[in-house]
Amino acid sequence: MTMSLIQTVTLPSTTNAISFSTIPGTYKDLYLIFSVRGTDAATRVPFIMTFNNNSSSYSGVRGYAFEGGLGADSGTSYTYIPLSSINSAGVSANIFSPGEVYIFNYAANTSKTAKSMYMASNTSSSSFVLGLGHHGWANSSAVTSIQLYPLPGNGDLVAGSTASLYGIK
Amino acid sequence: MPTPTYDLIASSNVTSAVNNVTFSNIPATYDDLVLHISSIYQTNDGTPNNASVFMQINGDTSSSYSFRVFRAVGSPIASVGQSYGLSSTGEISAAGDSISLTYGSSGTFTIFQYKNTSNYKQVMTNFGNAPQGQGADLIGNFVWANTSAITSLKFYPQRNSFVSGTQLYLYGIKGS
Repeated sequence: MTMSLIQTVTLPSTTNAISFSTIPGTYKDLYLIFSVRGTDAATRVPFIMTFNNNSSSYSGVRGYAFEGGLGADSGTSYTYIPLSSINSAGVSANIFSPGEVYIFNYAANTSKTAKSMYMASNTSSSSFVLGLGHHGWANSSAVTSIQLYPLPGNGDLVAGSTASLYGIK
Repeated sequence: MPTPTYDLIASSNVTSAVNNVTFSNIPATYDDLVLHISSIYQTNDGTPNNASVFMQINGDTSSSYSFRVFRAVGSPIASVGQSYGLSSTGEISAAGDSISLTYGSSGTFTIFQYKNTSNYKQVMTNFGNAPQGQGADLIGNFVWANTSAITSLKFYPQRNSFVSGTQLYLYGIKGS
């Protein structure tokens, strides 16, 4: 296995999304690692992902733990991938939210699947969510671009939010 | 040739019992760190349950560490649960049954933005074991409430020692 950096995006200022474009089709899988934070006044905001700026045919299931216990959600007609929840302005300023996504066979002429692991927490330890997800995109197009952003209506990403995309051969 | 982005920084293959494995002088040339641990055996001290692997950053023994864990447990009845709290003993504790001399624990610690001097450090773990149907942790999140760059990582078992068969590999992931 070889892992090659395709691109790192670090936001120099408040921006609504991190985007990777013109992803080459020369790898087998993609690995995405991120550390981000939102601007909304809430403690946490939903963080979503789309492929090729497409807004249909996503599905998935997530299981997670949070300060109130355990939870799970799933769906088959999403307009985006509900990737995670991320820290926002309601928690200490210097705590970002990490996560990772592995996208299988992104250039294949079949539906796409991805798995993810994510977490958001505060130093107090009593405010958190961490979970695992598996996601699908019923589209046979090769993934050539990826968009990561807070669910619309939930603010932007702060400066310093960063994500790196790697190709796996 | 693709540009290598997942580089081995250091490793330790334990051949005789040691109290800890410490990686020092970690270079600030990567974006993130990943530690792979496998076969984490401990000497059997008669208390075989819920031994943990601890990680201490930069020798910091203060109570600056907090944790959250989402776990599945295999015994006595398979179940899932969560726990969270503050460390009062100065380390990150990746819980997992690891006392067996036959079975070890294994997993990864991903340490995000380790050289960033503005943010607290986040650690994501996927760690545990499943010997004899006893239990396996799934994922954990740990915060080190400190803005210093991470230059050393110390790993040690909750009790006794790492013994022969323990392997730790520290990798650096490059961004741009």
